[in-house]
Amino acid sequence: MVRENYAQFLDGKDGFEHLRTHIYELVEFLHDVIKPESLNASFPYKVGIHNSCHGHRELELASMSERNLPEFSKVQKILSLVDDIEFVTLKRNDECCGFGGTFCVTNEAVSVAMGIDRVADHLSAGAEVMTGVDMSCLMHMQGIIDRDKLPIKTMHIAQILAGE
Amino acid sequence: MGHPEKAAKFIANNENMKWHDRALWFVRENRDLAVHGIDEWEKLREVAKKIKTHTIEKLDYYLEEFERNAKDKGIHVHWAKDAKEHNEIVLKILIDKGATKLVKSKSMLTEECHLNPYLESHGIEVIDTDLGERIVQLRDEPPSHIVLPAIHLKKEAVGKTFEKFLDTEKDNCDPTYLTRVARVHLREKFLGADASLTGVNFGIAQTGGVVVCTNEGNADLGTSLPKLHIASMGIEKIIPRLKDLSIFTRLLARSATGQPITSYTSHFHAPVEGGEMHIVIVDNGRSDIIADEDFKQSLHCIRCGACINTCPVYRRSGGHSYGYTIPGPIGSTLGASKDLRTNKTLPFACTLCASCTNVCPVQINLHNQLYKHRQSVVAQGLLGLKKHTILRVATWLMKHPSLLDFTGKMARKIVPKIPRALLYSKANVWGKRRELPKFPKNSFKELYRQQQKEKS
Repeated sequence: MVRENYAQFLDGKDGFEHLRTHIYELVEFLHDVIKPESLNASFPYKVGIHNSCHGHRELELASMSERNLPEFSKVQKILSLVDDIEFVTLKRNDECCGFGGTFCVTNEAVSVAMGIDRVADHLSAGAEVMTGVDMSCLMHMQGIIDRDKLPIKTMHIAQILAGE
Repeated sequence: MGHPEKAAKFIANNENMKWHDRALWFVRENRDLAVHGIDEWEKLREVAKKIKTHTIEKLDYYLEEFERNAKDKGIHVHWAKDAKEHNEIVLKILIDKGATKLVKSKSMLTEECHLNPYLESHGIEVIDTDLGERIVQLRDEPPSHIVLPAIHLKKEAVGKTFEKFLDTEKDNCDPTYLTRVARVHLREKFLGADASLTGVNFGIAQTGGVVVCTNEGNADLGTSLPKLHIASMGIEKIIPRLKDLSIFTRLLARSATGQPITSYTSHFHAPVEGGEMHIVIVDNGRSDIIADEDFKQSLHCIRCGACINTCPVYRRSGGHSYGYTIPGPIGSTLGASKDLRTNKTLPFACTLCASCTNVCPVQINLHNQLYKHRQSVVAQGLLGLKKHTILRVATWLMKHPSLLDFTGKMARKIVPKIPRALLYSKANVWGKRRELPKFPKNSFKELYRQQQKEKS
């Protein structure tokens, strides 16, 4: 967001160039800059990765299902450093969860319908935990999980990487 | 009623909504399979975009070249600046030839111009011959998708419609049976028609001919039997050379349905023997879009519908919820360009997930356009008082960090103590179908400060 979309408001302003080139998304920073080879973390659960749209399609943290380009996922690669973690295979690997900022309340019915479908996909794939890089997506889906008392929970990727 | 309200109505029929979503996702999956069979797919998209960008930049030149070459082939060429002129030209051609029965293949342009009701009010019988189009025409509904016009209807609904209009057996909704009945019904209309109208997928400047892609062969039947053929074409349908066509035919059907190519790719380069062919070239607001740097790419669209199929909002809200001729991401940007006031909710019928931009075979920056349109909605004061006020307050808060911190602190203290009945009142739209997040005791900022202190 800062890198891709702030220029229209801040271009030419003092410090923006520094900000734009020094800001990273967490996974991106770990994968591209720190490049860890191991993490002191274990997570013996079945995990579904929610590819949040802006990380996925704007920051290109993983290959998109729409494109015909080599497959990769920085998110999964970093998570794979965690011991005992198991990934599930989703039916729709990178569909939007419907949070979308103000969309979640201004287009409430569609937003909720999308969230319900995303959670259901992870559930039927056998995931115990849904993780991702974007707190707002997770908050939206956790809201649905809590309301429907579903046997799954959301965790930010940092929580898993930190060995919580 | 804007998009959110109409979408909510569509979603209220949960089973139907889920079926709609799955049907269109199936089309998207077929598209993915086809696309992954073409190693040079991304290259094709790039070349297609370059051709379109070039053509739109030099559109006046190519349109005139097209006109010259079409006339050389004995085709009549007409220019219409808007929908009204287009409709009047079509009616005049029909009247001049004494035609009263028109068979039409799919044309979103004539939907945009509302040609059918215009001709009908002047005593012309208009029959849509694409099966999906015919179904919605019988039901007096607009199409809900540009490639799959009746995708909002299940076979049971089609069966009921045919029962009413085509005297089919009661409660028989077997697709093969219904298709055969439609076939017989449409054959009669083809045989009885005295004119045909088709849309245009591509107009080739170099040859002066037009290309129409269908899966049902209905454009061919329509244009082969009657002696009069009218083709309605938006100015943006031009491609420079015949050899450019192959780039687009490779992209079109794969993106639309996952087929390598449409069943029929029909080239019309002259009138049928002893007949007449007319091409009506229509602007209807397109020149204004070309003049707008932010949105001109929307004229690159080849109407494959891939952005519609992939759009998670469209799949769950149905085509009619958009209230514009073309639904989904491409329709939302075109509709907003055409009339922002009427279509002010369309740029917001989107989570900015960007799937559309990446699925588009001609690389239109669809989600960026919708984001831009939102800014115009705000700038023109069309946001609505409630949303406008909320955003103004939020902006003000975010501009005052210490006040924002304080508000957060208060919320963390107060919200957990509010009784559930009050907290989940009607005003809490989030909470209608979702729990609020659990409020932590401390903010990130507070935790961070605390840790720094402990460290030092």
